[in-house]
Amino acid sequence: MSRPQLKILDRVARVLPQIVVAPSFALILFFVYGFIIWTGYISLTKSKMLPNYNLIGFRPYERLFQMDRWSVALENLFIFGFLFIVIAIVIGCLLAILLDQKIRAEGAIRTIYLYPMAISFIITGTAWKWIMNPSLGLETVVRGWGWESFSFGWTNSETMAVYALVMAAVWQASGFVMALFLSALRSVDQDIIKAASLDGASPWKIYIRIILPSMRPVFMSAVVILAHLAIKSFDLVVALTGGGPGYASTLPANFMYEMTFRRNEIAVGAASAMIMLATVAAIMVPYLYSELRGKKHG
Amino acid sequence: MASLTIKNAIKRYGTVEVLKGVDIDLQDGEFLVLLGASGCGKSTLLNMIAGLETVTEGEILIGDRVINDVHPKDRDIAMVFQSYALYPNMTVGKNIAFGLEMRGVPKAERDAAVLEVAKTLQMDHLLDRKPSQLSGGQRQRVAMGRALVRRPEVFLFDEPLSNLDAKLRLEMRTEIKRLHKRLNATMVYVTHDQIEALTLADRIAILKDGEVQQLASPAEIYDRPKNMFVAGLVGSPPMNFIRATVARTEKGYGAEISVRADGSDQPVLLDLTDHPTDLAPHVGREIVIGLRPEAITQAGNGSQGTQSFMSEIDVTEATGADTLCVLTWNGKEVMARVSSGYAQIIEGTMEFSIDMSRATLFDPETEMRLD
Amino acid sequence: MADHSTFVPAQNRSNVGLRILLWAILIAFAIWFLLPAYVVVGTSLKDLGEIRGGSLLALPHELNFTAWRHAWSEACIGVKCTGLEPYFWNSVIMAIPSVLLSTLLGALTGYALTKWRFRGANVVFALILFGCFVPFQVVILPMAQTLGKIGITNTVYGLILVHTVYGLAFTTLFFRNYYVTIPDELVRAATIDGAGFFTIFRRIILPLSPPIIVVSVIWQFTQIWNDFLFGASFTTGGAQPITVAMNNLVNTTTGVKQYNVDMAAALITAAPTLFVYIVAGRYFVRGLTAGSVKG
Repeated sequence: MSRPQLKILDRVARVLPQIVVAPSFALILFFVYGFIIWTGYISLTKSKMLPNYNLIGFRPYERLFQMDRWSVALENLFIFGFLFIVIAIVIGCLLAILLDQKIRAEGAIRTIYLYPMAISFIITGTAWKWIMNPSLGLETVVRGWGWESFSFGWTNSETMAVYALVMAAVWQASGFVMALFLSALRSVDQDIIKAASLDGASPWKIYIRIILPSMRPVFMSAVVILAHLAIKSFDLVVALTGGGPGYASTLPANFMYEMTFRRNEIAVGAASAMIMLATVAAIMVPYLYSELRGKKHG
Repeated sequence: MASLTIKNAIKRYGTVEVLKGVDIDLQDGEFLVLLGASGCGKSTLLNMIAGLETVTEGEILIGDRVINDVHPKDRDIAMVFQSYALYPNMTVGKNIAFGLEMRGVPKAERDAAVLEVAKTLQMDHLLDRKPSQLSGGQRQRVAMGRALVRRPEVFLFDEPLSNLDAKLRLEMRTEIKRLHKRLNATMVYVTHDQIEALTLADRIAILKDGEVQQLASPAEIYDRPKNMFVAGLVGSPPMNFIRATVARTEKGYGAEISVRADGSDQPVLLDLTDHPTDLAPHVGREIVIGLRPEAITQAGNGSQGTQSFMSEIDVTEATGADTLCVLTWNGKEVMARVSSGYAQIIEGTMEFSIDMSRATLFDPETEMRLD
Repeated sequence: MADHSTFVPAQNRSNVGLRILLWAILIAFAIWFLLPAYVVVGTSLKDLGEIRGGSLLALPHELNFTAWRHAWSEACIGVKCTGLEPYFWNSVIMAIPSVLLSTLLGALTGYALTKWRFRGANVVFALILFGCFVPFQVVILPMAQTLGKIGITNTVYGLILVHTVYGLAFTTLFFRNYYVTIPDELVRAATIDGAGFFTIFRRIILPLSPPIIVVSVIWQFTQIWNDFLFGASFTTGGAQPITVAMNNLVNTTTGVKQYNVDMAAALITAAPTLFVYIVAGRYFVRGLTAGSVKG
């Protein structure tokens, strides 16, 4: 009889799920959480060109917040993040509602709205930079049509460069928001809508009063995803404005890269990364918590 | 075939006790139904027998082998699930053969076994279809076939009929009953449908809050429910509960209630003299009188030990063979069952006869039956 | 989903005006979305004289693929004038193993977490999930150090490791959300039938997974191909992925600025993900909605 052997196999089989999850979990623990601690540690040292493990407390953070470049980056993040999220949601929502009106060729239009999602921010930045070229770009074309005061050379203007980022980022992401809303619109309980229209509500009223409020979770998801995109934005800045003119359009992600890899201020770079993490965590943790809890009850 | 023994089975999730010590002893070839509302622990118990949930405390035996730590595949059981759980990517034939394949049965033997089972269930023409191409009833048959083909010691059913429409449910119920008769296998069947329980079971175990309320044959559960929960759960429409105080009468014992008749409440003394329960200790105390609707019927059908009085009909519900009448006793609704010929004619007040010997008496505090 | 009959507000014939307005808005946005594509393709087909002399929006006089060839095999990136070709293959060699590895690991993890809910599975999932949202800036420094210690800095292996690890959080999320919609009873039935962890995965779960595998592969491929931050941080010179090389090409300022070559380079860089999107994009949306039933 091979009974006892079978039992050992069964015992292994019982912990097999844990064994299978273990490598992935270990990777994440080390490469995400371990690295967060590591970066946090570096942010408390006087690391310059190379990491240095002598703690000096919060001085790198003090330096960070004394730097004008950092305050500009933070301010830009708030302007960029706010406008990007609001405009992308408004456009995405509008397009979703319009596309929901039994449009012929809906598939083709959806493809056009969505394709920016497939390409790199580097390419988006490169393309819009070319369109905003002051001498050969769209500005010249429109002025040639007779609109002499038209100005589209945003990338070279200290005040407008941030809005150039907003425009390109909205261009890239609003199709995605539209797709998100469209699938949510289509999953709204049709009986409720029928009931409302029997009650005499106009189509417009139905959208405002019934459908949109029921899509609150999708709004939340969209805000969270876009906020996260905004905070991570790095390549778009590199390709579109280079953070310039000067550092007028720099964002925290670019600041971090600049400090760490170009200016030999590793500790300050690490400190800025920790601030970025804290910002993301402040948005994400409550959201994830409520999502996971909600799922358990659903 | 084998017996199934559950000894003081306890299941805890953290600090929550889902099963609080269940004892069930099942003979070889017996059909047990676990009946209860959702959340009573019946499915947990079934999963413990199957080996899909661990046993926190106590023992489960198939034959004389303790199977607490035996892997489900080595328990010699088969299970039919509520959602059928057919593998969507496999044909019907593959679905049925999967368990045999996992046990290393050679292909030729597998094919023969599948064909035989398919023939018994009259679905040999469906073997090459995918589950998505089948109707609900056909899927149910496949799920049964998957269990049958392995010829296990114990069959487990987890609400297998609750996704079917009424007509199919009736058909499949008969089919299961027939299978049990033919295979003479030990079967455990979980349901919340008391009619399924009454029709299928050799014995019914009624669960509530993780405890067995009563384990008995369908007839005994119906006629001698152990407590008010069991009495209320089994039977449709459910048993009427009437509160009244026991009093001594000239003949023996009685309990007074008020009955609405001709627009006013009239006192009626229910005669408990012939009731088998010794009522002497209860005189002057309140009890609950449990009367099944069929114990209250139209007067004049001449059964023994009955008394009759007038009662006003509030609403009638025709069910075909007979008609349910809603009466008002003690200010509450009471269901009576009369032959359909009667109730269609009458409106207002009519004479009902009550068979008090069939009443079940309960203690209002403990809700247990008085013996 | 698209073939579900959706509610349509009653259409009056008098609403023709509204209908025209609706189409005007839709078309205006379509033009806005297509403008960069049109400009990039158009510019890449012109020669420098045509670019300087003509309008940005004018159609090219002829189909002139010189700039494309130049961007692919001749353009100077830094000091090396190899065109994008070697970097293109860098990206291919980097993307394929990372996509496959992270998808496989994500599928197994998602399966174990949903269908074999062990004690602490939810905590494990929450910790993995947060990995999706960590700004990568916070891991760059230690990563650079670690890659150096293992000795795979500036190699394709380093990038494969990075992309596999940080893609894992997303693939796990996708598979987990998809697998929670597969009834647990299937796994229970298979367990009683005698199948074990891996047999159930291979015989039952994987055959049901194509929709979400498509999602995971498309998502991971797009993310990895389009990555710039990791490529720029951990590689230099010949080991760079195409996005970094393209950015360098555009910003290389030796001699005359060749806008047509820049645009051709952008087009070449975008081509693989655009191709995937156009070929398989609808499966992506379909798979996503099949997975996450919430919302």
